[in-house]
Amino acid sequence: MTDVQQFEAFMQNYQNMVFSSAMRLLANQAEAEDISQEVFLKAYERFSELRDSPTAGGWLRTVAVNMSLNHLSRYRSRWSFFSELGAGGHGGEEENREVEFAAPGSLEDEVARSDRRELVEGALRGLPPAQRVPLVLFHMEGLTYEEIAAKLKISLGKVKTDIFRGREAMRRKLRPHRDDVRIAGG
Amino acid sequence: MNTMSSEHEKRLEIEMDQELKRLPELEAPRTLAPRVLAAIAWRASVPWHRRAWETWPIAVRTAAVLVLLALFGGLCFAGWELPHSGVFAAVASEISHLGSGLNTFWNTANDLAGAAVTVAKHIGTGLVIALFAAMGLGYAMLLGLGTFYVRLAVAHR
Repeated sequence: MTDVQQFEAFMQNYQNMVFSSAMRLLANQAEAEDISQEVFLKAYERFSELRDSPTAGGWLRTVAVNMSLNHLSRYRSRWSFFSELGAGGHGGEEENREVEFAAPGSLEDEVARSDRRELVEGALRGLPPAQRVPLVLFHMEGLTYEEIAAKLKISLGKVKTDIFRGREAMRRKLRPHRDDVRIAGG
Repeated sequence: MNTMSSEHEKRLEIEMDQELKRLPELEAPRTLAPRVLAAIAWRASVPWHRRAWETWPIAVRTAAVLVLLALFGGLCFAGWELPHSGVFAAVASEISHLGSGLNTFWNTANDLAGAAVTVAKHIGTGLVIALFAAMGLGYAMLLGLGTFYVRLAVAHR
């Protein structure tokens, strides 16, 4: 097996994890794919160290998070002036769009578990970046409030407020089917 | 009241934590792996001297560090020795000559600015203001067009 073949197998093992981290932070498939590519190119440069390392997954995850945050702060801030004109924020319509639900009661029978997960994913994607990013970092990447404040270069109070608002917004969006979502996860 | 609020926050945190942690990993696009492999192949085809320094062969990197150290040492030595040599006086004279050239350039720029002020006084303040307003309007139009095209491009992604 050549180095490239070994790397391909390595990539197959971790590509969903890296892509998920980038996608949930960026909420944009094309950008998440670009970031994932950069992460794996960086990993290839250090493949001799990562190949048999038990911490390779953690390393990839950290790099994916850092690259996504850099992308958000560098690239998007450059264009925010344009994107916020009239659209009311980066997400545009996406931000204010409530997740659409089927009638309560019928959902449990009709909607498959994957659809319920899609509801949560959709609600998360619909949050404005200021709420989505700290929420993902806290609940999905396992960072503490202090670590998030340091990474995003904002105050601890703002981190707590944004996360609380993000949770409230998620709850509002998921409330009609909160029980269904709970059932879906067991 | 505060207890109720903090209880609500705690409950909300636990609820969201469970819901978000329950989400499975998203499936990476099928195009990701081929893209990465193509980028690796392209990088491999680029000659070493056009790649990032960290990826150069170790012998070349060592040689590059030695050359840079020699250059730095040479510069330090020259910086120490030059003031005591005749060459330094010649270079200083050359620089002062260059300085006089810059002085001439500065005087010319000053004269041109003076002439511009005289012309502005002659044609009247109103016209000058109108010219500046037209320039501002042109700039605003360019900004507006740029914004429009960027938004158009982003909307089509």
